[in-house]
Amino acid sequence: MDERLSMLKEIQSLEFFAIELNLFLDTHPGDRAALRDFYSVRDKLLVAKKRYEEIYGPLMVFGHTPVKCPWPWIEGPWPWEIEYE
Amino acid sequence: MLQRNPFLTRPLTPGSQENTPKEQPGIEAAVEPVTPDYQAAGFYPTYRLARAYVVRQKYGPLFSPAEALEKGTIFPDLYSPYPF
Amino acid sequence: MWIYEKKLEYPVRVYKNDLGMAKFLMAQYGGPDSELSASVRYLTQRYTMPTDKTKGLLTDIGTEEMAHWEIIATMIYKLVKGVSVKQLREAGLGAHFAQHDRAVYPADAAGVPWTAAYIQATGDPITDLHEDMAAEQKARTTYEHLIQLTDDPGIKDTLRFLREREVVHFQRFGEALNDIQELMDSKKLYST
Repeated sequence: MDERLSMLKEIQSLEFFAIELNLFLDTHPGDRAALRDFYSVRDKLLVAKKRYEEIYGPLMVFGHTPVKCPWPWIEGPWPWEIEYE
Repeated sequence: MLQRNPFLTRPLTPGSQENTPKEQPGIEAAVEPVTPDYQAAGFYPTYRLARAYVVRQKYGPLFSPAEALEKGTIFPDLYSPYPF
Repeated sequence: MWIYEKKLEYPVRVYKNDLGMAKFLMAQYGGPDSELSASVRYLTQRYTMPTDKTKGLLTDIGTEEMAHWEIIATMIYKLVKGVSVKQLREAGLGAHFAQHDRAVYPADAAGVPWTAAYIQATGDPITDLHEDMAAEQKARTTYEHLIQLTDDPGIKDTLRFLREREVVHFQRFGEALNDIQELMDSKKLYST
C-alpha cells in the first residue's frame, strides 16, 4: 500500500496545484505566467495519473480512462476507506 | 423596462457628465447638476462610496506542490496559518 | 455536468475514534455554514451571473466544495468506524443511530436536517457575491472553532487545509465582485 499511497499523494499534490491555478485563472484569464504554470503542472499530472491508473485502475469514469475486464471502476478501496499515512 | 442604474452613486470626477441620460432618446429623467463626491474623492480617488472592494491578487512565486497541499494554497501571499 | 474522480482532494488521516468530534463535524457536513450549503449555493447562483468570469468561478468553487463535503464525510465516517452501539448511545448519538445507523446523514450537529433555507440566490450578482464572501468567512470561523476542539493531528491538518481554502475562496469572490462592479459602472442604465 505504501507505493500506492505515495503515488496517490503525488497526484493529489499536482492536481491541487492545478485546481488553485484554475481558480486564479478564472479571475485573471489573461495572466500568461499562470497559464504557463498551469500547462506545466497539467503535463506532470497526466503522466502521474496514467502511471497510477495502469496499475490500480481508473480514477475517472464515463469514458475518461481505459479499462479492462473485470470492470475495475467499482474495486475498492474507495477514497473514504483508504488509510492515508 | 429601462431604469436609471442605481449602482452608480455620484461619480468621483468633478464635472463628469456620466449621469446625464441625454444619449438615450425617449427616457424621461430630470437633468440633475453633477456634483463631485468630495468625501470619496478626497480619500479614495478611484473608488465609490457604498461599495466593498478586495485587493486584486498579482501572480508571484509559488509553493512546491507538496508544500502547497499541506498548507492549503499554492500562494505564499494568501497563506494565513492558524496556530492553535 | 459532473464527473466524479475517485480520490479525495486531501489525504485525510484520523488516528482514533472520537464521537464528540464526529458530532461537531456535522456542523460542516449538513449545517447552515457547511460545505454542502456552500456547494449548492454557488452552483445555484451561477445560472444568473452576468459575466463569464463569475459563471466559471462559481462553477469551479461549487465543485471544489463538493470535494470538501466528501472530506468531511470521510472524517465523520472514520471517527465513527468500529464503534459499538453502546458507545454511540453513551456519546449522545443514540437518536442518530436509531434513524440512520452509522450513515453519514446530512444534518447539523443537533440533528436538524439540511435545508435550502440555508442558502439564497437573489439573482442580483452583487448581493449574491456578498453572500458568498460572508459564507466563506463563516466557514473559516467554524473551522477555527473545530481546530480548537480536537487534538488529533490528522484531523487538525485536514481542518487547517479546509480553513485555508476558505481564505482563498474569499479572495476569488472578492475579485469577482470587483469585476461585476466594473461591469455595472460601465453601464449607465440596466434593463429588468
